[in-house]
Amino acid sequence: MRIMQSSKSRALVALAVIASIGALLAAPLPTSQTVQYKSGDDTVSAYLALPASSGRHPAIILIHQYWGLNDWMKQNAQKLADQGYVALAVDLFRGGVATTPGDAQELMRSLPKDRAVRDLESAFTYLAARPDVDPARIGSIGWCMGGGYSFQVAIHEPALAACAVNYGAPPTDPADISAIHAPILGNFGADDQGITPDNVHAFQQAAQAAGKSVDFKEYAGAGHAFEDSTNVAAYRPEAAADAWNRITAFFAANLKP
Amino acid sequence: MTALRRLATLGLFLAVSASGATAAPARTQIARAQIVSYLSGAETVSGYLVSPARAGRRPAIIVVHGDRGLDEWTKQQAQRFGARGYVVIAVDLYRGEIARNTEDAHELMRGLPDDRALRDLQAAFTYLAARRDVRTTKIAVIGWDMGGWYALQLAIHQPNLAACVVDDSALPTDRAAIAQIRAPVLGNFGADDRGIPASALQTFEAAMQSAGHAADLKSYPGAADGFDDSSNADRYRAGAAADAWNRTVAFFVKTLGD
Repeated sequence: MRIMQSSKSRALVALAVIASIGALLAAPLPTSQTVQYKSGDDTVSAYLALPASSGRHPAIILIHQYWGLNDWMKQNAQKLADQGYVALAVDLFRGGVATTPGDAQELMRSLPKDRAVRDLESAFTYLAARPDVDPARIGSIGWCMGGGYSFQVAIHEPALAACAVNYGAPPTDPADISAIHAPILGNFGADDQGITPDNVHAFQQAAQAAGKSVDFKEYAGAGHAFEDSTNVAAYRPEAAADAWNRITAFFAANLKP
Repeated sequence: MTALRRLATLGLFLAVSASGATAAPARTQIARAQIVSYLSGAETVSGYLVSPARAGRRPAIIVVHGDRGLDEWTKQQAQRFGARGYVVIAVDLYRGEIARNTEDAHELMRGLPDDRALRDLQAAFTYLAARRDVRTTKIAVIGWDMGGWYALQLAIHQPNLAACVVDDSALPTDRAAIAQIRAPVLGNFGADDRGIPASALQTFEAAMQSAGHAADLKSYPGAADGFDDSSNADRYRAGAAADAWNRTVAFFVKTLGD
């Protein structure tokens, strides 16, 4: 009896092992997850999307709009992971996600900007230390409020390899502009009330005069947030598609081996 | 813009009086309100100046608007301080733009370059310090919500600032930057502010104290951000607003003189 039981249980274990190996092989590896990393004394959360392939990859820090780390941002991270990047969408708002402009503005207004920059520098450090990331190939991208912070990452992190900005406020201080090393891609709406074509041109001229690589495009008939498909009033599908193609080509040229 | 310039050339004389919210007897003074311009880096920027019609050098206050821009409410605050005998300049960080709604405010605020805003405030300080009616060692700053953040940035970067008041604003977190603040800081906050938790106030106060500086932050129960804005009917809390105003007036009397 004991022998029978034993062989029976051995067979069951073997079956279970085979079944779980089968399940592992059949199911895709988990490619996205929420991760945490240290930023000063704080612990910050971020949404991490990974490419399917193994080895070291280029990486991209994604920086959200004033809505916070919402599903649209996570989708963007997933899209970049599908193209072979380790994509880290940081949560500057510590979990705050807004669905109305009033709430979103409250979140943006109460964000200490020095903390946000620290969170982003820490995100760079986090990515650079990951075994699946090539630390020489880390870029950043931000939209709206996050676009302004993407510039800040370029100013504060000299090892950043590419900086993409979508309707974010360009810096004006010559010392800040000269601190930028990464090539910069910018997509702006010509009808933006807060970042006027004059602001965009002034940065472009100052950065080019300082020998920086700047590729800006202004979209006629588009205001701020024109790439956000969830923002019905602002979304401009054609301009958004063109901007996305520019973004992926820019990252491929500057981050891919 | 042309309308603003016309205003500036006319020069408006206003009789402004302290509001009824003031507990102290209103000391109505004649003050002159006008649009002035001054250099900020390579740019010429404008501000709303209220100057009391009194001889001699006066303490001065830089007023920094919130996310809606230099609107009528902000100008009224400048007038209230002007009525108390201060030379006041309300800066216009948005270069003439004023938000009509929350979406506008967002679009303008996120479009404002941080470095430019700080440069504008430094330039306002320099402008006031060069005026013959200003006591150079008695220049303070006050800001609401977005403007409070920039007021604190000025306190970090302008060692000669005499006092700093913030209402409903984000607070800096970097200890090295906080340690640079020389001016005493007063703050008024709504306890129901969803963006700025009580822990943020405590962290800032602790950082100020460990650097040997004074910070007096008060949190009003039952009030959210915007509680002292009488033009915002939903948020306005008259009692808290009056208390915050009295605290502010007393703080300026103490730090700037009367």
